[in-house]
Amino acid sequence: MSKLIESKDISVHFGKMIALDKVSFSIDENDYCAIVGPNGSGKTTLMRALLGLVETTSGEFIFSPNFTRNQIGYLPQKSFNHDKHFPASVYEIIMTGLNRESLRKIDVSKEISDLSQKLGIESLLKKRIGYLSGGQQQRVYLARALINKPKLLILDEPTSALDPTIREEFYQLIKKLHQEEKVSIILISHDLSSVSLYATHILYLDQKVVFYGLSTQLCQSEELMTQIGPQATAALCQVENHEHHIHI
Amino acid sequence: MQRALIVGLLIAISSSFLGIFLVLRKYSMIGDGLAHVSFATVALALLFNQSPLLLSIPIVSLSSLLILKLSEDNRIGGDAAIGLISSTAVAIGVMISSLSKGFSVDLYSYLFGSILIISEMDVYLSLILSLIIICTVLYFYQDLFAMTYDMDYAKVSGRKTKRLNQIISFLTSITIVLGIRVVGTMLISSLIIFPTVSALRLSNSFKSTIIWAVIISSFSVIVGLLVSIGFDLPTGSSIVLINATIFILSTWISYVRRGG
Repeated sequence: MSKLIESKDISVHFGKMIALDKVSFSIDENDYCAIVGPNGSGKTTLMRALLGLVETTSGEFIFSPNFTRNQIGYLPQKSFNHDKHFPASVYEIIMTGLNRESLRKIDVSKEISDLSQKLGIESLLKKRIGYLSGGQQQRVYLARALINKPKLLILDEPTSALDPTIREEFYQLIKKLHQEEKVSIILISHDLSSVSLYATHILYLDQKVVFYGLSTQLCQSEELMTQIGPQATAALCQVENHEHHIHI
Repeated sequence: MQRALIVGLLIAISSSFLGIFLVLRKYSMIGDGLAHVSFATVALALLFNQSPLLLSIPIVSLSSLLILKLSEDNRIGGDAAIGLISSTAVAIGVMISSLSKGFSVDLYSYLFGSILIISEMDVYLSLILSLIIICTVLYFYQDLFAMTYDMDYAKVSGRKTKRLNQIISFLTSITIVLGIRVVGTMLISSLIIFPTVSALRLSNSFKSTIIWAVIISSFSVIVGLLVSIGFDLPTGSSIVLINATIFILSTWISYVRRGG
């Protein structure tokens, strides 16, 4: 597998507060990496730094020669404009994902039509974005993130506002994208038990890296046990095993 | 009369093209702030017997960039930045007008708009500048829309948001300077705000909001000018009151559409 991005000793300080402390990890092609950790552990900050939205204090992101920031699709935690009456149709919102290059190259209406069919939102294209349900909106923002055909898709807590049934559907949709379309995934979540069912790699973050490796190795991690305690680790891994068992 | 209609229509179209990007980003008061700056520049131009239009464009544009720069400072914020610049400008304008006793009537016509001050050169300048505004907005339409909806995503998708902000500020400055001939410095921001806010009540998409805003703005400027000439009323006030009536009507239509 060829490497897409390598994060080398990334630190982010907001004044005296340390949000990230020397975080290193890498994403290869076709990885599905879940970034987990408690609230305020720096998960979103790390991704915002990777996307160039937050300035790093030290360290660097090394992009492979055949991969650029423009090939990243992003589904932010609070992507949407919270004004319910914002006058934008679903079609117009998906179009904002297109960069100038794509606008010139592709047949926009065909691309949006195909993508919206795939995501089950073709009947919503003319509707106002603010009038859709949370689940429908998430699909629209996913379409916006995918319209440029990204090599890497970053999803920041995409299911936090969804009810359990829709949440499961959403995870299945991401799984399909990963397996069939070969899109690499970074998924931020605080719900380790759910994401460990799908992720190939786990990055457990608490300002610094507590664990980074294959998801199957998580429960053997001494660092994790030291960080969150043996009881919490046991509980976490029991849940994880249980979930795996149910799925099998 | 003919000049006033042409210039009025051009300003109506330009301001409604820009209005949606400013109103939806809660930045519409920049129009008001820049109008106050243009009050100072008009006073300065009258003092030195220069063309108010030519002197206002560079100074108001620089002020808009200064407001933008101050807004980026988290300790100040957008509304405070506008307040700082506009109140300083008004103070300078009042100071100049009190120092030179001779041009109070002229200044009054720039404050509240008068079609009598529109020259042939104003018509040509308005035509050129309005074309620049409309073409620029159309060229950057996708980028401006993306930025208005979600600034972070616009940055992530590789859009140069800082430069786009500067472009919007510059275009707003030009619109303000052009508009003070017809509606005056005190009322020009209403041309940016009213048509967009009324259009928002009538449309479902971003594009249709712009189209509605252009229709409403053009209608209010034409009817306002005709009423002002026909009944010998102040031009700016007539246009703004027509706009206010349309706003009330559109609010009522939107209320009825939603089923009361």
